[in-house]
Amino acid sequence: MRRNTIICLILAVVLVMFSSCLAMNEAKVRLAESTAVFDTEYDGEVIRDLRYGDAPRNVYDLYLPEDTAAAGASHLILFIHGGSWTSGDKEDGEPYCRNFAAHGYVAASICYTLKAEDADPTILSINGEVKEAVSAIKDKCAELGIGLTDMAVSGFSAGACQAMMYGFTGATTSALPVKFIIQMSGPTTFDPYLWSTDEVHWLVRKEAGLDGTPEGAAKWISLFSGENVTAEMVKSGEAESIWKNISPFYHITAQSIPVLSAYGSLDGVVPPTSRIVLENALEASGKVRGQDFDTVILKHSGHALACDVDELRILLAKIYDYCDRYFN
Amino acid sequence: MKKLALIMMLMLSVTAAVCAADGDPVRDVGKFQLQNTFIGFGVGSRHQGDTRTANLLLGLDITGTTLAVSGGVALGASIFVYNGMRAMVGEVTNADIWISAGVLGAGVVTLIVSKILGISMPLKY
Repeated sequence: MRRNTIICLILAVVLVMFSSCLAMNEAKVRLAESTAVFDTEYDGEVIRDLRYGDAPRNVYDLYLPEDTAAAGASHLILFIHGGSWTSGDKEDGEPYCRNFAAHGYVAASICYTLKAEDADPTILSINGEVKEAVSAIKDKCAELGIGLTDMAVSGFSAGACQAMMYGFTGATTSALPVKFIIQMSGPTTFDPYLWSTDEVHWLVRKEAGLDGTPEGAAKWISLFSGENVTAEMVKSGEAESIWKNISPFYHITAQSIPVLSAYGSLDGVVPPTSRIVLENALEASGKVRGQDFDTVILKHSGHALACDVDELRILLAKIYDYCDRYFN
Repeated sequence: MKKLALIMMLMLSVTAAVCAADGDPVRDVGKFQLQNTFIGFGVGSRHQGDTRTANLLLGLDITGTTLAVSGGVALGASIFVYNGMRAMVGEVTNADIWISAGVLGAGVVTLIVSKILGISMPLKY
């Protein structure tokens, strides 16, 4: 009897401790497999922790191609990390940047100011930081004898949103003209009601304070715009112009540069409707799918794009197809 | 929550009433059955003097409760983690959910067997 009880208690403790370990282990394996897609042999020089501004996180890593005198070395591919504007680091871009540099392009991965107790960056203020980073990278490369002529901007999640903002708002005013955007799992709109739906995991909604009420919406818009938005402004529609101004889709025009996107069909962090909003805006401005924009859909993947290795390879091939097409 | 509290109160009052009744052999068997059902852990059979059944029911109730509780907790944790992983990573195994549900189910079946024995054995003793 006593033995039975002890066995049961041990079983119970073990079961609770290890519940969900199979799913977590599989997730780890999937993440490693998807990162491995970008792994490639690269012997170029990486210059780390270069500064581009005064803020503590205004740093970047520069990945130089092995042959800095080759034609590809005049093009920069900038990577902006994700992390919900609260976490992430330039190291997150390492697999991508190594791959870009191995293909002969100059690559850089930047850090930017994150939301913290002592900092409250907005989408637009980070856009300013990206602009500063591009200038600094151009100058640094000139110092190294590399003459950059143009660039592509890429990013993941929050970084993808920033990449789109930079590409759609600053393609021509940037220190290096932006030729195209590569964005993975990026939010394209900050429409609070779109983010309040069941498409988004309840924990994300809870963290963001999105409960479907005007108060929640006001908090959400204020968080990213830096403006003091009230529930009354949401109710009256006055807040709409504020969230639209920080939404990449709203800045798409007939002159917008090409966009290569990748989204996971099971994404529960960024609403899948984000992709539709982007594609609708691109089509409305006269852009043609397959010519001016492409979307790679990863059917079995969530936000991290980790469960469709074949589609990731297609994305990688498309990235270099875009490089061939749009870099001068 | 209110419903659960009411059911618990009802069960306790029935059990208390049964425990208070004494003397009539038929009512005594009913009392032992109710004690085995609602108090559990072989309390009724032990009062009846059937130590063998009491020990069996004690083992079954401890095993069943442990399996059901741990299975339930693990099931909740598995569903929570699975949903999060699916949103973040994508399609991952849901084997944890099935294993936890199996443990929970085994616990429930064990408790049901215990209750059936708790009702039938006092009649045979």
